Amino acid sequence: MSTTLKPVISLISDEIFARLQTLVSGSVGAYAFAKVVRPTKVATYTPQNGLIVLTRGEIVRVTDLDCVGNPPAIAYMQTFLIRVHIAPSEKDTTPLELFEDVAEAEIHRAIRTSDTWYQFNDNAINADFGAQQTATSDGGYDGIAIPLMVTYRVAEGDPYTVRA
Amino acid sequence: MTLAARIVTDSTAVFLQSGHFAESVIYYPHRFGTAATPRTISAVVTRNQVATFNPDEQIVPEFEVRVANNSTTGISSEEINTGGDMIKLAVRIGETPTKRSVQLLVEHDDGMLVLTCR
Repeated sequence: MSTTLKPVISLISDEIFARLQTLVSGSVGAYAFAKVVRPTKVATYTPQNGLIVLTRGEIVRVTDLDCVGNPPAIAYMQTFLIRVHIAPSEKDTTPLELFEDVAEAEIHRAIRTSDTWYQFNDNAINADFGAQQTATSDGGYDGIAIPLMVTYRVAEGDPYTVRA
Repeated sequence: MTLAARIVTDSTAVFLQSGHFAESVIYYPHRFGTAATPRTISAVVTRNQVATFNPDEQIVPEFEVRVANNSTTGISSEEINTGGDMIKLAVRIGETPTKRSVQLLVEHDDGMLVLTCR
């Protein structure tokens, strides 16, 4: 399936992914992250310290932000989950909370690139970070997930056309 | 030789023979600032291709890796560190091996370690 033409929500995903990648290249932030990945049918990545996995969570309609017109504009709020794997050495005595705090701070800094950061290249009308969540695995602690709620508007019946 | 000692010996002599159940993998110890040399070891690898990885809510291949509890021919229980150690193995038989994180020391005794890698 060709994916050259992308719906608005995919463009927003791409922009969030691109901003997170600046943490890996070292162009933003004081700490090196290992890699940023997005889901595939079967994941090819290996979970490791500093790995960021960008996934999507719930999407809801926001009828209060719909606009009249022909066609009308339809608003949605998509929750992205920015998951950070935290796996320091077993012998490291640094409190895990410090790794979590640093990871969250760096991600906020990478995403909030300017005063209009929440527009994601004019594709969204609002965005907001949620409270950090702890992620667990079969081995116990695994890291954190940071929710990012992005509100955007598209033409009714045409998810490719943004209606800011 | 005690029964316990014999079982430990057999774990290497029987299960970890490449002609029997084992395959060669490369262990990459993470020494966090101290130089460490990767080494080729024998391991019995059970491949679970469709495993749900809860933290990411993704399907991530999972591997149960059994190695000798030995710092030369396997991995010693003293040196293993789930905060960075990796094992290079093929996700599917015949594929080019890739490095996978050692995520969990499931159990161990004098003879062997059982590890979960992803």
